[in-house]
Amino acid sequence: MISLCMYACVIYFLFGICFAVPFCFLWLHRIDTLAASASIPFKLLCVPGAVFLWPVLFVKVRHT
Amino acid sequence: MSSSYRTVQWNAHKKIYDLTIALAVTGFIVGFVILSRIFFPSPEQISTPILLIRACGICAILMLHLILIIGPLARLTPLAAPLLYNRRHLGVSFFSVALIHALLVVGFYGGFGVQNPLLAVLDAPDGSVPFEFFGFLALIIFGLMAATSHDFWLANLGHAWWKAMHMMVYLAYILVLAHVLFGPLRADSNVIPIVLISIGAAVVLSLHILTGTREVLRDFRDHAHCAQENDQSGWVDVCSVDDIPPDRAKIVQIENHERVAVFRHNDALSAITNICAHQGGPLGEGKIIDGCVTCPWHGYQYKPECGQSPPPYTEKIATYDIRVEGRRVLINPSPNPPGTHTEPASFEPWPEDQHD
Repeated sequence: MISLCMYACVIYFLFGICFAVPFCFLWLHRIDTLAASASIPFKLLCVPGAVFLWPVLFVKVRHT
Repeated sequence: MSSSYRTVQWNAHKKIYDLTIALAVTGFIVGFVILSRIFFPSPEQISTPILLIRACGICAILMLHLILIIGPLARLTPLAAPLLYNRRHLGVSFFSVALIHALLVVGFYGGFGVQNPLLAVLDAPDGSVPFEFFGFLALIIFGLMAATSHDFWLANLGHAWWKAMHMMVYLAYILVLAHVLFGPLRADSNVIPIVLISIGAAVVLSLHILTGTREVLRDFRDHAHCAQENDQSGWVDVCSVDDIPPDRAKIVQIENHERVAVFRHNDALSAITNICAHQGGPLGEGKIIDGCVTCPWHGYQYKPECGQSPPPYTEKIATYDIRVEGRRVLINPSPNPPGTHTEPASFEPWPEDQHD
């Protein structure tokens, strides 16, 4: 059971990383115009949050 | 406040705060290792990785308790407000210490076998409580909170969702208690750590109950008072002008259960919602600085007469129409749309209130 949970987490976060990097560097401005001129350190700072919340952000980006 | 996003919103106060956190954490961990070496010399000497695991674990638990009591403490005494002002940095620092603890555990206890190190640590032997898994789940929640602590996430997830997500800290705290009680303390014959963690949990719980009860009682009292003093035009008598100190506010609850902050500034009164547009902080517990209502939580500012943040910031909050009859303050319980200008209600100050 515990190993199942762990593998589910690993798969979830791998998908998250695949989505988060292009999201933070290419699509951030699509959900928030204030982020259009954001610095690279700020975009890097957003990567962990995007890894956690990638399904929500995926839906948001698709609707823009 | 938001006109654009900055990576870290440092100012002079926050830099001192962060430096203090870094020094305190480093001092605790180094002190823990040195004292352990002094009090437990060879042959019962504990290895350095285990000492570091314990030091980071204990440090993280202390920081978590501090984080959890800052909110209620700030409600009880304004002395705790500076701690509240930068609680998010403390939270991220706490997560970093907890993560180091977890990485050391995985590396030391699971890193030398053929099995996946994380799985080796998380897989509890049959029949035993999987306390490592409780810690793992708590760390995921703390990670989510740390990763989404920037205002960017607050603005894009919405206040309600962001707040709900960050309220999971209480679930994570219970998981941490289970992690500690079923783990390191289970095999320990010394009762002092169990007593200490119980005291910590009791302090967190009692402070939350105390402040919660105070708020409920205050709302009940204000609500009963407003119900009695509601005049025929619908305006509500909320207090006397003398109840409000200069550049401060009185928080009142009106009949629709909204909390309103009535601010006094330059011998005039303005009424705004008590809820900050940033993280829902209690504006009425703040004060007026540079002519603006300043939220005690993170320093967001609003002009009292219109509820707008000073340019270039764009935040807006609801205002309420207000008037003074004699020494009594009356407000219209229907809020104006956020950012609506309302005329401040002037009054004659008592001679002793007048400044030179």
